[in-house]
Amino acid sequence: MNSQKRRWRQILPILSLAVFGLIWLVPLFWTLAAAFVPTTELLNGSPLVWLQSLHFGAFEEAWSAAPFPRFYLNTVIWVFGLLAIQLVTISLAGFALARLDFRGKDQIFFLFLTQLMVPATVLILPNYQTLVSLGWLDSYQGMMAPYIASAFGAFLMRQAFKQVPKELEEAARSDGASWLQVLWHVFLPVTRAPLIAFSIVSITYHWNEFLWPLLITSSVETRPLTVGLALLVQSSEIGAQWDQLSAGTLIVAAPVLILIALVQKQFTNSFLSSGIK
Amino acid sequence: MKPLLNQRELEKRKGLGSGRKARFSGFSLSLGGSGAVAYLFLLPSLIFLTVFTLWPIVSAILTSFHARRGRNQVFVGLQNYERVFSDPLSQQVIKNTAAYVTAGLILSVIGGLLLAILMNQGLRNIGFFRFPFLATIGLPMVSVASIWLFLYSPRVGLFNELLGSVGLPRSNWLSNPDLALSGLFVVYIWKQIGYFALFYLAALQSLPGDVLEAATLDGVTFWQKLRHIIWPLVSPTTYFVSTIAVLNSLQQVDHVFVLTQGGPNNASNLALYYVYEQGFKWFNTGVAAAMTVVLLAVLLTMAMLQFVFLERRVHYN
Repeated sequence: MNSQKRRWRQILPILSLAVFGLIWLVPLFWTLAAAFVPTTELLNGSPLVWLQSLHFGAFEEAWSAAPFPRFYLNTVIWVFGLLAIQLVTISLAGFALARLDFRGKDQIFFLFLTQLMVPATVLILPNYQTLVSLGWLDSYQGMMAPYIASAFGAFLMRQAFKQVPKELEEAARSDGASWLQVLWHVFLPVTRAPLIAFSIVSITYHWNEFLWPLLITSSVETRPLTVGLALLVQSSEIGAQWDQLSAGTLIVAAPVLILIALVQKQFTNSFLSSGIK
Repeated sequence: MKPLLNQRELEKRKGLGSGRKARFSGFSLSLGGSGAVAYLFLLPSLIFLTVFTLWPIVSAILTSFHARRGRNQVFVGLQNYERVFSDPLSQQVIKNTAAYVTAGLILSVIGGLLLAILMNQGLRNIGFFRFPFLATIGLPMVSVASIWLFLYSPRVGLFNELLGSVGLPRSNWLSNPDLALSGLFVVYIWKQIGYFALFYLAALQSLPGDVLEAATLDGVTFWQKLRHIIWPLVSPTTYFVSTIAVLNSLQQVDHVFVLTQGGPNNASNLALYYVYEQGFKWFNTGVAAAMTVVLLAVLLTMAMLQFVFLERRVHYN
């Protein structure tokens, strides 16, 4: 009796997690079904009918209804271009904050802290005005500009660099290596984990970003996937071609879903570290 | 933010800033020029922080005291703020945002903790069970909103299909002023709850295992265990989750674009969407800037509270 009760105590949480997880997946399954099954069959038929009427037409239609290949290219350029620049700025800044001595450190530290407190999303209006005066509207650098300096990244690297043994640095310095060489040859090779964590957070965040690119971009040559999808949704909402919309949604979301499935553990840890953002 | 500040405080106390330590370590000669190097290393970040974090704060404050008259910006004092606080539309927006953020805060803490407890089963293939909640975190909000647009659809949506199949009346979810804001909120929670659960999960896993184990064996009910053991032990995480929950929900705007555009009749209009509408649709930059400043004030107050809390913690430790 007692052991039976105990077994229930073990099974019940797992069971409820499984049920809860399945319910959580319903919207995704529904979208998947809607993309591969014509809408009339989806609504009137049973799952057996769905299987018989599977088709890929909606993907072809969505792919040609909006210039998705170009949007993909734009997203890749802006997300990975930004990441490349960020990796340079956060390594340099993190190193200076962790390992170098200079005047005004507290003031500079506070400036970084300000960015942690005030997310760029809130500053869209004044930042837009700045881009207007710089002439950076409808450009990749305009989309990237507010994120090039990253307090989250700089602090993450600062923490990591602080843990590198002093002796390694001193040995390299006494061999006559410059600070840049020390950073490149001694520090960066042993701080891959935080660099990867930062990369995952940055890629996910900017791949998904919508409002800022929507405001900044006005042409097919710069618009990222998210903006393209929102425009597709708005244009076809009245006609309500749900299979096409679902296919478009999956086209945008698929890379992220695959990434998460592949590196679930790393993804979890990266997002935990993003809490300081 | 927490550990960083802590460490910084400790450094101050011990007088062991990394640089200072270096100076005493006998390498003062080679470190002589490190100041210039430091500024050079910091320069790219400092330029962009100044232009895209510091300046916009100043600029928003300046703009909030001005209004457009013809082609000129004229000084109007507090007029924009009066409008933000007394205009029925913006009052509605503030009310919506406050409700949204409060509900977000409560559900992130309670839902996040409960989900984390469920996730914290010592199961080998637990990753498989966690996937649904992780996947939604990583999805673009625009895609998520498009998915839910379909679910909410009055004619072909899943919800109405389910209601119809059990003989209940169908509803026009997003065009109903009483339901639209909740409709947005459900989407946000569906996407974000796993994110908050992650922090609680990390906290639970760092607890000594025997504490939870012992409580189970003594025949304590789940509720007692939650109330008297887990809740007090994870309270630092609760504080932390509360902060990011507020920050997070204040910034939600993408689903407003896709699902409701703030309607019907501004029933689902949120502060950031209001900034967008005033600033970029109606070109009332002064009013948009005033709302931006209000948001900044909320964020800075939160940061201040966090700072006070941290000071206390440092003293107690």
